[in-house]
Order: sequence, then structure tokens, then C-alpha cells
Amino acid sequence: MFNLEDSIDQWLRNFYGHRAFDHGSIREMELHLRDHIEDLMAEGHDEKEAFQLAVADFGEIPKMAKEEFWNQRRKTTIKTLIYTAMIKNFYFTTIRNLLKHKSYFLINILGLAVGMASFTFISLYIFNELSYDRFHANHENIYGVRTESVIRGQLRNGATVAAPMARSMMDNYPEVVRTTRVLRSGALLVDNGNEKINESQILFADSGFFSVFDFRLLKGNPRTALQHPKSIILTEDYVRKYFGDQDPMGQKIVIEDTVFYSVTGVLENVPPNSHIQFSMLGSLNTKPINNTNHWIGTDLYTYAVLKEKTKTDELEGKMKQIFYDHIAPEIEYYTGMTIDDWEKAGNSVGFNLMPIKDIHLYSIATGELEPTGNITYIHAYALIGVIILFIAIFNFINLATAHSATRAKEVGIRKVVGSTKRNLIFQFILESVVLSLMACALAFVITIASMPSFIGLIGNDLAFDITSNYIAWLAMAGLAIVVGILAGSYPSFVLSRFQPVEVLKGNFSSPGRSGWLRNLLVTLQFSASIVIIAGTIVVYSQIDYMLVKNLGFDKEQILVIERPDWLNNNLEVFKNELLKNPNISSVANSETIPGKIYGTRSYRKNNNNEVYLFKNNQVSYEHKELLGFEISAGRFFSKEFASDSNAVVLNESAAKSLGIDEPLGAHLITPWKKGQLLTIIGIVKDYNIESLHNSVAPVLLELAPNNNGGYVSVKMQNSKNIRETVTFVENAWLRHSNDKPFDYFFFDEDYQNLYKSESTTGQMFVLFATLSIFIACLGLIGLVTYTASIRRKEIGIRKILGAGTSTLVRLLSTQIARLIIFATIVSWPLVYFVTDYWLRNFADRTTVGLWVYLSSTLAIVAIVGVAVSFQTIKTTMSNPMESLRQD
Amino acid sequence: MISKNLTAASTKPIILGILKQGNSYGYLIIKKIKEISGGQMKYSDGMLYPVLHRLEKEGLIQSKWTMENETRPRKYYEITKLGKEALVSEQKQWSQVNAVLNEIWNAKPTVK
Repeated sequence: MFNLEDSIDQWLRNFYGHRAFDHGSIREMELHLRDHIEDLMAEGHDEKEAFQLAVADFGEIPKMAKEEFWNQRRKTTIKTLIYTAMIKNFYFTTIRNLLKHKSYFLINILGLAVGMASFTFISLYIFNELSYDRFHANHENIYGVRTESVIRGQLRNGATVAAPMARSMMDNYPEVVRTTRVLRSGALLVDNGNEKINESQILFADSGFFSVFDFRLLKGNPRTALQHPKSIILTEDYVRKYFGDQDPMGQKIVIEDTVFYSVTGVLENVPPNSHIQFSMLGSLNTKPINNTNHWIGTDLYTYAVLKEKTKTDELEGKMKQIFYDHIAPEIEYYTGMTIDDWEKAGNSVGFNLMPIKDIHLYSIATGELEPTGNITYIHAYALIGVIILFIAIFNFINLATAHSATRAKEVGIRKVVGSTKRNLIFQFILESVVLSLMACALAFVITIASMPSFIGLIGNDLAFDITSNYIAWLAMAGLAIVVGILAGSYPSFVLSRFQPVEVLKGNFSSPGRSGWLRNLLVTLQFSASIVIIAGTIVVYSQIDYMLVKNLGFDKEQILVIERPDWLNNNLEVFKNELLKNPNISSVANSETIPGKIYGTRSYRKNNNNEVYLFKNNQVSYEHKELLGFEISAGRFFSKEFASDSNAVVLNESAAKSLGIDEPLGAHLITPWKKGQLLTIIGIVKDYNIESLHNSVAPVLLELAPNNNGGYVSVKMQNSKNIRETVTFVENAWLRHSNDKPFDYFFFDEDYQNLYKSESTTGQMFVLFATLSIFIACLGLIGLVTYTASIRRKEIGIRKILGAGTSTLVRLLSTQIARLIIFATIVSWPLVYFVTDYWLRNFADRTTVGLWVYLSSTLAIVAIVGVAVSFQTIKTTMSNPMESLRQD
Repeated sequence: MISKNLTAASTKPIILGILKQGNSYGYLIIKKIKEISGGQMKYSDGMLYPVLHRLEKEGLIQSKWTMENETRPRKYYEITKLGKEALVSEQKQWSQVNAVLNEIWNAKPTVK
């Protein structure tokens, strides 16, 4: 029996098979048919006839479908280049593939993610370093005014100039638009009404400070905030520290118990990428140095805004006149030489103008406001960052080409069913981009999670934050896509080149031509790792050399107390009380200690006009014992000799520069002691008071046991009970200083600050060396797995014929051993040049022995050995039947 | 009976012409063509739809589903401004073809 509805359904089914029709079109056809049938039935046909006639009139569906398909085609080729369906298929193939080869997938993603995270960290760090002081809108025209002197053949760069310099520049040179000066005072005692805190974060500045710099004032008027004496500006953090939620404006702060400052402004926290760091900024005209006319011993950090396109070297030349006008007379007075003679003797003093943006990375001056960076390290970091990223990419490429063997059949089938080479390349690049985006997401998580540790490592806040900066996000995603394309392109070309017939017949073996590339990449990875390991060893041994071996004094377990002047006349009593504690072996006071600033004084030999500039320290009798100096001739100050108040002790450099055969007993004269004869009673072995970037400075020690300026140093017996000892010292301090705050530091930690950028570099090197080796290992495991997998049958047969595990390990590792040898040949010269370049930064440097080279290669051999033998043994231990039964 | 090729070539101006007289849907359009041509233009009905869809894609006509007072929804096609312009150009071309043919067929044979 004919059923119209069933027949219509049946007819409609013809359309479903064709992609060209969507539901709308099919519905349209159905309506057409129904209308027609209705009409035909109205003409007198029965249902069946009407249906048949209507269908006949409608015509052939395939022909129509073809027409429709052309319509569709036209649309897709114009509007979208890629068929959505194909993409969907690629996508699923990708996901399916990843799930099927989880370990491959994990190794690949992890390696790339770690590489990208490292690269991100390094980039953040580099950008941070390069961004120093560029937040001042006018940074191109702001210069730091500095001194550069050569005295007795020694080049000295100073970060400061004399106080009257700024005015003199304004008076004499039309190029100078504005100047401002900054004073760093030592720690000051700040009282907020409830408690007293020793603040070291205080600077003082001219009222024009804000017309030169763009530190943002949130409250207060930048023009007037520093105009009046005893004005002070606090940063947001410090407002919170001292005033909580109260409005600080106009409030009083007591500094050093006597001076009342009133708060005239609130400053946004100083950006971490500023070479001027402070939390409190007082008005410079509070201080007597503000108006001084003295050109000696009045050092201020001075900044000048110059007119655009000023030729700084010309201006520097003109500024030489300032030296002749103001400083030369003082030199003549102190040396007794005419300035011509003095200059003819090879001495000179000049001023230089350093662009403010260069101060952080290029300054080699002593006495900078903050520890500086070093452009050579930035280059090194950039190199390491790129190396790590490339190691990760090489890995990715290696693993993907190795893995391609398992995809051969898929490629074969795709080709047979009509996939073009372009489609395949696209598919594999897409896969690789999907992977690298996943790695990127993981890298992002790693970066955020380990950011606090990284900041801890470099010891500085970063000015850029990856999470709040959309450019960083974009850059990272862009990086992922680029890495994906880069890493995916080679394997995709190899894969798309497979011959489908060969592959499907099962004749496929590894594409021979890609072997050399893989070997090349692995060799490069090994070489990079060797360079990084050797670099790490050298950096570390240099730091060790500087901080331990070559110091000339012992800095361990020494507690240094600041501001002994609070003890007034109780210094001796305090010292004696400390010695009662069995854990304390000696207590000494001195004007300064190595690593801190030493004053320079001029000396003359008796009956000789030649002047010697020595670094000066005023010390107590215990100084030598405390620092563990070695005496090379004569003796140290002693209470047994009353005449020691007119005695001096030199270090070897100072003694040598005097050029006397027998310095002991010789006499020196200095204007500082009004022409008294000072007898040289002893010579100590050279020790470093400054960073080893500079050669050992000549030092002269004078006796001043009752000097309560500077520091009191307390040497502890051992590292046990340090906490108790510190508490003991603190209690004694509070008793004798009338409850002044007890501020102290440990000598070794403080001294380490001299080498801040070195130790940061060292730690970063270790971190990134470890990471790069980790990534390289991942790649290696992948490679060995691959080698083992394509040789499975061979191994199976060899085992059946009686080969032992050790034979097989040898068989499989020969190739890798060859690569390591190549890598060694490539990397050793590189190691030599790189480390030599870096060590040139130091006046005293460690020697790089052959063992450094050997051990870095050995490290690679060891790591590789573990990875290889693990994989190889796994393969060789397997039952040969398993591998032979395949196919 | 009009040949297949000629039928196919004339479909576009015919559809545009019909739609210019008023909006219509597929089945009605076909019916109208058959009526006007007196059965001389033989279509398979189905072939109309790809043409309609193509014209829509080219922007000469546009469609919308409507439920008037009828029981069935209809997909109505409407000629667009672009479509009207296309129709004018088609008319011109067909008239030219017509003129050329007339000229040739009505001319008297000339003898040298």
C-alpha cells in the first residue's frame, strides 16, 4: 500500500548524503514537492501518481547536488582557505596522538615549557635592567655629573662631585638647563612619637629635584615641597609605616632626636628600576653642605638637565676649567706642587657627564647610590636565554622528527586519500603550534608560581610584571606561535615527504636525510650545555676567590654594630662588658670596615714634596686581631707603646708605593695631623677594601682607640649560640646607649653586597645551567628512545644470537659518544673566549684550569650516560620475542 | 521545445524578471515559468534551486522564511537593488541578441 509520508521521507533521504544541502535547503525541496503533489492531486491524480509525477518533474538529485556544490565551493575558496572539517579532523588527530603517546607529549611540553619559562624570566630581568631610569620623561637629557681622576697611575671614577659644582655649572654653561643634587646620609634615627627607627632609606635633595626627575608626587606641590629647610617627603609605604591611615601632610617627624621635620609631600613608591632609591626625601637646605663653597670633601650626587643635542664631550672639556679654578689651588696647597708639575707627573682630575639611563649598567664608579648592574652580564644573560630557548626548540624538533616514524602510516593513508603536501605540512605545523601553546600555558603557570623565588634570587623587585602587562601576554603567545611554527616546520617537511607506497608496504625506515640534522642539533645542545656548565664553574670559582681566598682578612662571624656614637663615653665600658661573654673573642672599633667607604688622605714623606694618597682608617688596638690581618713586617698598634698615637700601619701596596727600601721607621707627614711626624711601625699583607673589580688600594691605618664614630665589630668564637650572643650584645648596648635602637649587620653578608651582581650572576648561572641540562636531558631521552625503537628488531636478533647487555649498550651509545666528542671540540674554544671575556672585568682573577674544561665535559658524559644506559638497558632487557613478533 | 543550453542561459533573467513583478517562492516561480512558456521551456524542477541559491549568494536576490496565513512556511525570494540592475543589463543583452538575429534573418540575400 502506498504511503505518501513514507515516500516523501524516503525521497528526502537522497539529499542527506550530500554536503551541499543544509537543512534549510532540504526543507525548501520538501515544501516544493508537497505543493506540487497537492496541485497534481487537485488535477485529479491519486497520491501515488501525484508523487511519482512530482518526483519525475523534480529531476535527478545528484546533478542538482553538483550544482549546489559548486555554489558552496565558490564560497569557501573565497572566504575561508581552510575547510573546517579538515581542521576538525586535524584537531582530533592531534589530541588522539597526544593521548596515545603520553610520555612523548609530556617530555615535549615540559621541555618547551621550562625553556620558555626560563626565557621569560631572563627577558624580564634584561628588560628590567635596560629600563633603568627611563621612566623620567626627559631621561635623554638628564646626566649624572661625575669625576674621573688619575692619581699616581690609578684611574678612579667617582659617582659624586663637590657641592658647589651644580651652581658653577649653572653660572658658566648655557647648555645646562637645570641641576639638582642629592645627598646620601648614613642611617638616621627617626622618631614617629612611639618608637625610634634607624632609617637608611633617607636622601636629601635640592628643591629642584622634581623639575629634573619624574618621581610622582601624590600629595604636595613638587615646586615647593623641598623649598623650606626641614621639609620631608615620604613614600606611600613609609606614610603607612609612620602614620597608618592618617593624613601625613603637615605632621612632624623627629630625626636624630633634635630636628623636627614636617611632611610636605607623599610620593608614589620609587620604581624598582630607578638608580636613586629612597623612602624619605628631606630638603637639602636643612644641611650645612647645601651652601658650602668648599670643593674638597663635599660630595654630592649631582644631576644636570642639558639642552637637547648638547655635545657632552665639548662641555666636559669646558668643565675642566672648574677644576683649575677651584680644585687645583687646594691640590697645590696640599701637595706643595704647582698644578702644572702635578699634571706632568701623570695626575689628572676631570668631570664627565654620564647619561642617566647608562648609570645603572655602565658605571664603574665607586660610591654609587645603589649597587649597579653590568652590561657584560646583560649580554651573558641574553646569550643564555637564547641558548636555553634554542635547546628547547631543538629538543622539540628532534623529538618530533624521531617521533615521525610512528606517524608514517597515518601520513601514507592521508596521502592516498588525497591529502596534498601542503595539507600535511599545515597539519603538522598546526599540531606543533597546539603543543607549543600548551607549553606556553604551562610556562605561564611556572613563571607565575616561581616569580617570588626568582625575585628572591636576583634580590630586586622587577619593574615589569608579567601578569599585569598585556604586552607581555601577547609577547608570550606570539613567542609560542613562533616557536611552534619554527619547531614544527622541519618535522612537517620530513613527514610530508614520505612516499605513501613505501610507507604502506611497511618498508619505511627513518628518513636518512634528517639524521644529520638531528645529530647537528644534539651536538649543538651538548656544546651549549658544556659552555654553560664551564661558565658556571668559572663564575663560581671567581666569586669564591674574591670572597674567601684573596681577601687578606677574615670576615666570618663578625657582628658589626652601627652608630657607636650613641654610646657617648661608654664605648670602653661597653667593649669590656662584651668581652665577658665567652662566645666573644674580640671587640674592636674603627672608623670604617672593608666594603664600606674609606676616606682618602694625602701624605708626604719627610723632606720630600711628593704626595701620596692613601685610604685612611682610624682603628683601635684590636683591629688586626679581629680581622685576622697578617703582619709582614714590624708590628701592629699596641698599648705598650705610648708613642703609637703618632704611629701608622700601612698595607703592602701603600708601602710599596712609597718606594723606600726600608719603610719601617720612616716618617710621614699629613696636613690632617698638622705636620706631626708619623712613624711607620708595621706593614700588613694586602687586603681588599673594595670590590676586586679594582686592584688593591693603598691603605694607611691610624690609631684612634676612643673614636666613637664608625662601627664596633664583635668577633664571635664560633657559629654556635649566635642568637644568644646577639641578644647578649643587644642588652649591653641598650644599657650603655640609653635605649637607642640596636642596629647591626653581619660583616660577611654586608661585604657580599660588593659582589651583588657577581653572586646574582653566579646563582642565575647555576639555575639556568641546571635547567638547560634538564631540557637537554629530556631531548636526549627522546633521542635514545627513538634510536632504540628503530633498532628494536636488530637488537632482538642480536640478543638471540647471544649478545649481552653490555655489548648492546656499547652498540647504542657509540653514536652519542661521537656527538659528545664533537661537542667538546666545538665548545672548549668557546668556553675559553667567553670566560676570558668575563674575567677581564676583574683586577684579580682566578685561573681557569684544564679541570674546568674536563669536568664540564665529564658532567655531560655522566648525565648522558645515566640517561642513555637507562633507556638502553630498558630496551635490551626486553624479551627479543616482543620485538620480532611485530608486523 | 527550447534547447537545454538556451533554457539554462535564460534562467537568470527569467527568475529576476519574475521576482521583479513580486516576491515569490520556489514552487510558484517554477509554475509561472511553465505557464508563460506554455511548456516550451522544460526544466527539471530541482535545477531551479541551485540557481536561486547562487543568485542569493551573488546578492541579486534575498530570501526569508515567512508564515503568512497559510499552513506551510514558505521561503520567499525578493529581488535586491543589485538584482534589478543585473536584470536591466540582462534585458539589454538579450535585446541585442534578438536584434542581431532579427537583422540577420530578415536581411535579403545579396548577390554580387
